[in-house]
Amino acid sequence: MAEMWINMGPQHPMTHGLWNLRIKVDGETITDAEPEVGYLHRGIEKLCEGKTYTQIIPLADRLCYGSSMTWSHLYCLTVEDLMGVEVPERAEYIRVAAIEMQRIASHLMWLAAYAVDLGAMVGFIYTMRDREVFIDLLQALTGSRLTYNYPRIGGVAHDVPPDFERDSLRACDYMEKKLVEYEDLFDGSKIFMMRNVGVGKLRKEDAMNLGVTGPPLRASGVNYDLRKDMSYSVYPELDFQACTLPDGDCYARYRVRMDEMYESCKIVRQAIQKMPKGKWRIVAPRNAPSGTGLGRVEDPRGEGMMYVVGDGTDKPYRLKIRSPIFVTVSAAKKMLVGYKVADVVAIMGGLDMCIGEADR
Amino acid sequence: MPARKRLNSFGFVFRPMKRTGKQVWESLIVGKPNTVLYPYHKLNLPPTYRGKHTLDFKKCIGCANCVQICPNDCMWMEKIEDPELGKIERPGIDMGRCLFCGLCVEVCPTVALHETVEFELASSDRGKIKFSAKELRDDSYADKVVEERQKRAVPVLDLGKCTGCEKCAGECPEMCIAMMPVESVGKLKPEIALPKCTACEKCVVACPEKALTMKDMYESYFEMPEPKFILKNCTGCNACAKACPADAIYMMEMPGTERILKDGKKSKPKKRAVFVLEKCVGCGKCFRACKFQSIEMPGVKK
Repeated sequence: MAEMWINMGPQHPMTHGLWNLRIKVDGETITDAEPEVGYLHRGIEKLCEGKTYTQIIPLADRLCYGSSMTWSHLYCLTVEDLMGVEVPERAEYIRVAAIEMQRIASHLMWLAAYAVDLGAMVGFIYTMRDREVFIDLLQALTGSRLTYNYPRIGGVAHDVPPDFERDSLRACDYMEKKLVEYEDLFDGSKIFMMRNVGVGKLRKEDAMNLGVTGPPLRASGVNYDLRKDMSYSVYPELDFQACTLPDGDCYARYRVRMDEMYESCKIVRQAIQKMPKGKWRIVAPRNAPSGTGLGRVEDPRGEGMMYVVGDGTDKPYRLKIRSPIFVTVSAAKKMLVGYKVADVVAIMGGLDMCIGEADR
Repeated sequence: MPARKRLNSFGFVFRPMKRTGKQVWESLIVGKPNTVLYPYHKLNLPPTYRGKHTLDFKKCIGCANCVQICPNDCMWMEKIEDPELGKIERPGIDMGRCLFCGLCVEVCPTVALHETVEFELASSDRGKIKFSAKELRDDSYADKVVEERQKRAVPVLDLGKCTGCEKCAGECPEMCIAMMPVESVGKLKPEIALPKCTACEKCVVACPEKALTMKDMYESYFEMPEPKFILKNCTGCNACAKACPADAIYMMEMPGTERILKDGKKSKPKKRAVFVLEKCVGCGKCFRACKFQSIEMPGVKK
């Protein structure tokens, strides 16, 4: 039978956003694949050039609504590097607690979408319900449900609310109980295991050559976590480990994210307990000096990077955003070739696509 | 995490079923449901929630800092005639463009602008989500909320009454008042280093002219642009002092600039603007009001 190209997307339940996956099929088997992104380009990098440094923080939130705390934290980290601002220690601990909660919430949203991709509606409802616990915590901390606008250049916007410590410790205990429940639901399900184990293998060499970062890279057996390897904020003082699995298939990617949620609970607990008293914000200068600043963080989806060029005014000359998903999706061909059309949903869903940050 | 045991087909079916059955028992039969019956039961929102704005007309000074920091340009200043407050300028907000970032609330120097927990703003008419200043007005809201920002009392100078007697500088135990000469006016003006001030009120008691008064100020986390004064362009027209919302500009007479008129009498001396930068909120209104390029403010659009 002749080979043919099939467009999956830009409007397809598999894509989770606007992007197009072109696959070449021979019967049911995929022989070639080509991801196309660019349907959601909003020109955020250019938009930032016309705004002051403070005004960009809410824009950085909108890069990815699934993990907006990480992106605004990354932006503040970058501008602090440019301006040479020292952040108070309390602010660093609040930020770490907030971004780890965000990581749990983001992974739970991924798990919900992944479950519904594979036909498990129960998984969608359970994970979305438990994500609500962390969203409520972050709402009490920041004042908004999804786009937080909480980190500031030189600290965080305001102090933690009363009872925040108690509530977040409770939420961590709750989450660890619920994770066991998810393991029963997903690992205990024959259908889930059949669609995941041994599907979408990404070799270690391919993953490293294509620049894949985050959970897909660690699931391929590369122990690379920016929180450990290029530590930022107060991560060196916290006890946790990078989760790695050697298999490189969809099940390993799922397992890495589940293990990361356990680790995030540990980090939140430590950050809350070690949080010192004191100031949470300092006055940052209005104008940045001319020069460059660079920030790298471990986003829930991979390595996020920002690069800012200041020219002495209160607006950046250039802001470059490196998105993890934009790079990770280029591994689609290596993962898809040789598998069936029905596996596309499982393989691409396992990447945790977020088109908002990929297209900027 | 330890690797979990591989399950046989019995476990593959019954473990998920056990979980779902337990959940049905917990949420339907013995426990409470996980959702809220929304229009009848309201959500319990935290006090930090960012919803619709309210504006305290009496605290607001009309400095337009909120309008300047808004990333979406959704605020504007309105000129209003109020029976109590006279001719004032107050901000209005277009909620259709607002992204609820809360920067306008943070930048407000007098904490007049607040965000309530009201979030039901949807309307079928676009004009109804455009709130003018009068629709935002709620003068009692500020007393209900606990402020996140720290408030402290600091001495505030009324330069019109000050004679430059240096008594306040001599009295200050922290040595935070320095007498700075104001060129061309020939007077000394106390400058208070606010970070060092402990609010002991000794300078206020010592002042014979009652020029120093204690006033509550809110801590600001934004570095605002400062006006730079260029003396040679100043004509003493008083426009900047009228425009200043924080009363930080005083018009003072310059001695030695009197002209002798035709009838032999001396004219009134020229005036120049003197800035008390401790009071300045960095809004740039003086810079916009000045028609003679006598005030410079880098980074602010005219």
